[in-house]
Amino acid sequence: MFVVLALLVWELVALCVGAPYIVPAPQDVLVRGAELIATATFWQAVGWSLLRVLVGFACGMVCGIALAVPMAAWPRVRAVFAPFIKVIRTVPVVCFILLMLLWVNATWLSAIISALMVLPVAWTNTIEALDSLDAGTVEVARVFRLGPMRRLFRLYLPAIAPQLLATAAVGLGLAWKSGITAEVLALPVLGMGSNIYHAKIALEAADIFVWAIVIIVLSLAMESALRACAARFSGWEAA
Amino acid sequence: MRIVDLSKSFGDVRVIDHVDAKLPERGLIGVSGASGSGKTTLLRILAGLERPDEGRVEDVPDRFSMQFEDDRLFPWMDVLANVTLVGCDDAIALGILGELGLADKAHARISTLSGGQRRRVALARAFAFPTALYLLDEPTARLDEESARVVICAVEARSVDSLVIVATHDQAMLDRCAMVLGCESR
Repeated sequence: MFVVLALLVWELVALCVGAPYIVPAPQDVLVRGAELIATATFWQAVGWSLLRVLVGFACGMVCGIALAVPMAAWPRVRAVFAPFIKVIRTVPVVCFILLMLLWVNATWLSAIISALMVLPVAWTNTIEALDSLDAGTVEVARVFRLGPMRRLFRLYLPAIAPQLLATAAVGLGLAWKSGITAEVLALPVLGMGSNIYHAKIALEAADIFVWAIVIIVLSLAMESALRACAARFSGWEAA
Repeated sequence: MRIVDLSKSFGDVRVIDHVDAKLPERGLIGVSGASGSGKTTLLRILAGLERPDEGRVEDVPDRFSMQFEDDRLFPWMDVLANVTLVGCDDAIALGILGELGLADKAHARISTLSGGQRRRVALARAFAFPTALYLLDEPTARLDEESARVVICAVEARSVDSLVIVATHDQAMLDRCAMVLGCESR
């Protein structure tokens, strides 16, 4: 119902504007999408962007969790490093992109930006989950004198897995948004962001719509998969 | 191990009131009393998980094992992994599970177990951590008569070489104790 309504509104706006290079009609976008999908460069661009977003997302999650664990365990470590993470969280993404453009190759810039956007979210949520870990679980670890690795990998991380998966779903959306924005500014040879930029220069609004739809579909599909995993782990407390 | 003038209150309710006791190096010691009378609190103080308001516990072994009042089993592991969590190998864990009548449940998920089976898995985990002191909180709770008898035998067996302190309502268990500490909240 929502999709039909959105398409009707879109069609109406396209008719009112009457300029396909500003607002293309849905059928124009559909035709252009079919044309693009048939080209090899479309799939190369999708593949590269997907790879960069996934690499950035994975690095951001792993680094965020890895930083949160010692900070949750030792308040002094937290006091030293927490301000750095807070700075990363508050700096606008475009500042990072422009700075990174000076320092790194355009090919992997969007992966670095995605990682920088995901890291503070992963860090914050992991540290909050570890802080609110069930006291009973901590007592079991203490009484049975479990070593740090056993505590972490057999008790604490599985105990907070539902929160981590929910965080990953949010982080994935952020990784897509920031990664594609970085591609638009960095213009790697192959990437959806580069194609969006070139479409804008050529006033090919239909192309921009196609790329936006592809990004939305990919992002939602991956986020849904993660949320489905998270739902499986809900109610995963010590029995 | 000595309990010296131990007291503990929660708000206005005094759950442990100037308890003194000298406990032997081995044997079965009972802690009895109605629900809410402070049995669990006494075990938790002995384990160092709770601080007393007054008094102290002397000569507690560095290493001890505990069966908690709630089972505290972890659903992301199967029964065997919950037991070996404490560091014993599979053969020892399987032996203890067999002793407690759970040999066929070693690879079962925790969520598929009954309340009594979970209770015995929690006890198996406590037994899988060999020590000179076992603190067991209601080990026969939620058990049928036959399972309770099996558990009492297993607890008695540990008390030959170790000190086993059992908080329990179970009269059959208390009858086997060399000493019983009574708890009564005020």
